[in-house]
Amino acid sequence: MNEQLKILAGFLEKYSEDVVGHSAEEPPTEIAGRIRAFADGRLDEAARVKLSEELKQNPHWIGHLAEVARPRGR
Amino acid sequence: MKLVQSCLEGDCVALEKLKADYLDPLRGVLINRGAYVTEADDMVRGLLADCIMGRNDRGPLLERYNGRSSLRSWLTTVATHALVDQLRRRKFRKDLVPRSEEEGVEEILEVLTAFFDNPAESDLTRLLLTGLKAGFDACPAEELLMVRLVFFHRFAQRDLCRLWGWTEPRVSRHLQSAYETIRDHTLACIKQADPALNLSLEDFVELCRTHELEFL
Repeated sequence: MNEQLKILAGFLEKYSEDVVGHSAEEPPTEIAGRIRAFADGRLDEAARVKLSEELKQNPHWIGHLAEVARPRGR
Repeated sequence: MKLVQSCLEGDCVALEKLKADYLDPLRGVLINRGAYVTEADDMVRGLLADCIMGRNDRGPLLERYNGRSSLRSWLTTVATHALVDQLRRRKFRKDLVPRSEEEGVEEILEVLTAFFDNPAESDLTRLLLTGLKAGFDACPAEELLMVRLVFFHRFAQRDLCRLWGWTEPRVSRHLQSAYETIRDHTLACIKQADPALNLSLEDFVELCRTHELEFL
């Protein structure tokens, strides 16, 4: 599964920035606060689901999440 | 690459091997994927001609092969591109009289030339992308976020465990579920876009892999 999904994601990555969400556009303050809380493991399930929906609609914020949530040293 | 080089040098034994081991088997692949028998014959004949002979100011097709994927996968991708174009034309040609054998081959060569000139804009590329986007769009938001973090931002599964507060098996189950959603909706979208084209997931993945390695 992982290998196939990796290939499909790689193909998409080459072509489709809107789906991938590599840009690290700064989200609005309120959203950034919830992203920070998610990265720190402080969001309950309902809030996490809501944030996930917002990120699905705004994939350009996922790069910000990745920066905030990435483990130190990587 | 040795076989390809020998073919480009006009080695008759190599050319025979190319035809028997690589091009003739494509006929079955094309028929399985939706070509009529006559279309498959046309395409294989066209491929053979274009592989070894230049046309107008263009060199032989085989000169475009860079060896990053297997020759079989490369030829299959090229042939599938021709097939996708052929199926699209078929839709608009139902009322037309069948083309002559020569016309058929010539058009396929023309299609392949256009494909190599701009693979990113080809019908096949667009079809693969449309299918994949539909697959990703169909994913539930949380699962899609996991997929994006793992495959686009190189997060490990244990990173997801930390973010979600879940165990690794639970994260794995959600990634598996995302994969199944992407798979099912991607193939359904392809089928809807082009009902005559038959692709399995393995075909689709192989096309994406070869396309990325060789044509981007």
